[in-house]
Amino acid sequence: MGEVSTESMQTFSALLAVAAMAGSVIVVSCLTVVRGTAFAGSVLTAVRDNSAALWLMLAGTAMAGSLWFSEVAGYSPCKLCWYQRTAMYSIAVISLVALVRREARTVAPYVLTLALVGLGISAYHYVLEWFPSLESGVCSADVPCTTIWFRKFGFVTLPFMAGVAFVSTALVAVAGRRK
Amino acid sequence: MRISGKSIAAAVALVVVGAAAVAIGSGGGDQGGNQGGTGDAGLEQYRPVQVSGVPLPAMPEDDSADAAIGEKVPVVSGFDFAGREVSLDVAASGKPTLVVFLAHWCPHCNREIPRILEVDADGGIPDGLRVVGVATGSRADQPNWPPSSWLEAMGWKWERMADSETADAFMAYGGTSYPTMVFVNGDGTVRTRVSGETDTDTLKGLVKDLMEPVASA
Repeated sequence: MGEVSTESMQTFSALLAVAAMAGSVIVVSCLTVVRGTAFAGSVLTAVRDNSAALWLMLAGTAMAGSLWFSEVAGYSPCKLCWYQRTAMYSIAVISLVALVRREARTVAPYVLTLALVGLGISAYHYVLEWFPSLESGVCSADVPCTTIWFRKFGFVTLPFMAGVAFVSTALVAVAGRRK
Repeated sequence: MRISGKSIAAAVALVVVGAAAVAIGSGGGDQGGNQGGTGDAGLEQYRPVQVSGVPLPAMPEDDSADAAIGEKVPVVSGFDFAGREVSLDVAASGKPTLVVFLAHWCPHCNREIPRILEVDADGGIPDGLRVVGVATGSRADQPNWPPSSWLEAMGWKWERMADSETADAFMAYGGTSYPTMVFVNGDGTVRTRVSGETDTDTLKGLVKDLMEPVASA
């Protein structure tokens, strides 16, 4: 059952990442190509009014997922995973406080900064998965960052999912700042 | 047109439920090794390893001098995947030996094996050199599991040893990363240790150097 649960969890989290990606495309479209339309206005307003909840949902889900994969599935996090966790977990805590205190606009710059830092690390980690020679010519005997625990749909890996969560979080912060 | 928070929550809930339904329904994945204890019919991917003698110091992680050079390698006794005994008692054999520690999931190991084969194809690995590939750091949840099949598929043509789950052979040789190659003189002392990808010219040079008689002090 353990193995089936892990497989199912991989598929589940990968599908959530794809859904978040689709959401991000909608927000980007509203900020660019369909900007000024009634649809774009209502989407951006909804995002702005619920930014703290959206951050918490994104970062909280990512945090829960990462903990599940490391603590239940036994996927040991590598150095870059830990850097991404630092950013993601911080966003989760900040957004929870922002949600309770209704201070989404105040914390938006902090969330955006953390998300961009995390995104940079995720992007590098993802590239490293495809081009392991970028790191060095060796695999660490501990947990090398080139280790790919799973790859769903041919492209969704753990750093990819983290990257999508960071992109979505950053977009919510950007969209929330717009009137 | 107004999108309320409730609408967003409903959409999110719909996505989560849909994703969960698909995940539970599909179950299987599109990547992942053959999970299990043995992984290959009749073959064990981990074998007990006995070490006697002093383990080599850990490989330096920087460019500092390798303290293992000139030291006696410990005697490492183990088995291949099929359970046949493999003894790494270099001093007793009197044969220069190249011990290659390889991890099946490591992309650098996957690139290094073809280089070793290329060196061999060019005549760079003489008959007098004993080559032993040690499958270490093996993990059933990683790509290319099981290592027995992986080494076969990679075309590894020399002796094979299955390291223990605690990588005793690798630790005895002071390994810290994969791949690690230890060039051992016929008297059982370390000539050179290298870790990471090594190009064919360097490999040829290291083998040639190993096959030269050890300069007397």
